[in-house]
Amino acid sequence: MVQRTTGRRVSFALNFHRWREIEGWLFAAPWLFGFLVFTAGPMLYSVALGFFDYDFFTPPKWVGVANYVNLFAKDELFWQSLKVTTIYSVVSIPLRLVLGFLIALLMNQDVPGIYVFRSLFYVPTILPSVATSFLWMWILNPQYGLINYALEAILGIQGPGWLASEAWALPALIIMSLWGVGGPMVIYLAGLQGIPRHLYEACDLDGGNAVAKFWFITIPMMSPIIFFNLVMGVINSFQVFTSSYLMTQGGPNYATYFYMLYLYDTSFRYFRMGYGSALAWVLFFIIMSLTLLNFIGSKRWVYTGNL
Amino acid sequence: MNTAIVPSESTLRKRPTQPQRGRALEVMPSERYDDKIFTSAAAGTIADIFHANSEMVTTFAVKGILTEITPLLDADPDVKKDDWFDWTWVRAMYQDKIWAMTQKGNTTVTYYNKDLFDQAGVAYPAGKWTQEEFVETAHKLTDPEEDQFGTWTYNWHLAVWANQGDIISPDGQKCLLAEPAAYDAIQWVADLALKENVAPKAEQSEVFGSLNPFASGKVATYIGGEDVLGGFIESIDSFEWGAAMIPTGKETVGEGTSTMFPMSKSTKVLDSAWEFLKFLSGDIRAYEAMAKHGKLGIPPLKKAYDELFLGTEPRPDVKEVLAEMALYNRVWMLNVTAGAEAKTTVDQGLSLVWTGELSAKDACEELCPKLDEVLANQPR
Repeated sequence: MVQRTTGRRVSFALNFHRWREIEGWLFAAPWLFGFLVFTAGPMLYSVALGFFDYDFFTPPKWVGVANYVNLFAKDELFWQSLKVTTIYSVVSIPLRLVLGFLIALLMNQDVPGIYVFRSLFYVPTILPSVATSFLWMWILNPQYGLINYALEAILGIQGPGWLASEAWALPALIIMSLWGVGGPMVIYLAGLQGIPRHLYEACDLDGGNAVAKFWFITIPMMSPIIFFNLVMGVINSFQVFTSSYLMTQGGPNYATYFYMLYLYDTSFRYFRMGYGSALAWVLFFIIMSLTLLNFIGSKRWVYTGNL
Repeated sequence: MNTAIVPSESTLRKRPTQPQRGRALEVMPSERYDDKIFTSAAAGTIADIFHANSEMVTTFAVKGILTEITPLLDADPDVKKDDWFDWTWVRAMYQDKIWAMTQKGNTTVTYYNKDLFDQAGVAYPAGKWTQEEFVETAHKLTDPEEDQFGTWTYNWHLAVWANQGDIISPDGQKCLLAEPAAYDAIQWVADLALKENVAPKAEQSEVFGSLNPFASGKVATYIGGEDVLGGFIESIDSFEWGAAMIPTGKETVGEGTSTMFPMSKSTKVLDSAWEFLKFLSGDIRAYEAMAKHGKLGIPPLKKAYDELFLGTEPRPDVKEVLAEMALYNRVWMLNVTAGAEAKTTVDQGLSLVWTGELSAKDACEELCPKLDEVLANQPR
């Protein structure tokens, strides 16, 4: 009897846990289905497509590694788009990290109306990128734009042709990227507000000044947040598309021909899906490698200990 | 299933139903129309007939997605190719075969602001006028203090052809921009803004965005087609305006584009689809519906041209010029199946010419090898 009762209890418990497990899978099933069908499936398919010549309309033709060989050995636009994207990333990411951090420090002050200022800095990031692009086309207009007007009024110099100039188009888009600095700022701000007060009090007791507090407390405590923004910044900057697509169409003379724009043109305007898939996977490995490097390097500078 | 797909601004959606049953008309938003066509073509579910621009027709023809129209036309006793103007077939052809029926055509004319001409005491352009007369007129009508320009960005295709040059060889195989006739003409266009100062520079023209600059009243002459005529009639009420021929260089040329309907190769109702195509392109009732909604264009069908276009209201004076210019139409990207890639290559290559950072000669010599490579690799 005892054994049977215990057995029934165990069986009931197993059934209950089993049912909860099934329930969990059922709840996750729509997402899993969507992921497998709409993300993982196409991703795997595109791996295969990278080895085919495929134009949407006619059956794919096996070309082996020819797409990858052409891409690295013969394709000037691949290298040009990679160069443009790399320059953009190398310049814009540090600028966004530093500026976002500085603004977050300012927004972390206890002054009247600080919530208004925080909102003002954050609002640009929630504007649609299309609207932002058109707004900046006006701001950057060489003749009637705000920037050249300010340059002439304040410094007495004539501004460049910005988007129409081969030399200035990319810098213009980098400047424009700072418009979205409110995104990292908010994350920094949350991090700043999470730093325990007692650390600063301890520094006060030790006679530390503001610089010491910033260097020995704020920066180390914020390092995971800086790391997060760095990783996201690298991933996002290598996928820039809208601004060049709308504002410059990659020009003038391919000066703003970002990698994603080339990928889009190749796949969806020229219908070279096999080659586009190869481009996509090269981009995937570039981003993955940079992210891995970031994680490996983070061990040297990101503070992850508990307090 | 017998279907036709058209973009949302098409007259077909407003047209009284064609007198046959069992026909489905699918209307797509214009901005996603190409996506719909290409994805349905890729999926093998494309409609029996669909609205297409000429680049699409060439691209689809080379991919084997379209039914060739030539034998249908030849075998049908109800229609004769002579019922349509010759230019009807030019953009519908690839490798000497017809792949679509044309519903409307277009050309280019010089629209001019009569009030600005009157204020400057300049006579209106009439008949064939030369490029020299055009520049001289533009100078007289340019007033920098009033932000007023003698002309707008000139269509450089027209300038090249007028100078007896060409952009791509008629067989679609070779870039011809590195020839003096071509790059001299392109430099002439760039210099209208850079040296002559009678047209806006690139950054000045940006200000108008998608607005038509001619409607602002600040531009004295404007090269445009029939597609802007309806908008001008509707929106311009602050000044008088007219239309003249495109200025003549070594020869007179206009640029022609067409709106066409090809037939899918996978259609299972060939006869009905052909009947519908004939209706769209060869039946006066289709043109009447288009005219009713202000979407007539320049009719490719001679009967529609005579009865509904030439001499009809509104603006018969402008239509007369459009009709005359259509006789001089040239087209580019003929027999080019990598149209989008070729266009990007040309646009990028010439982009520094318009800002004066590169001479047209240097730009063309640099871009032609790139364009030749695109043309050499295009699908055939």
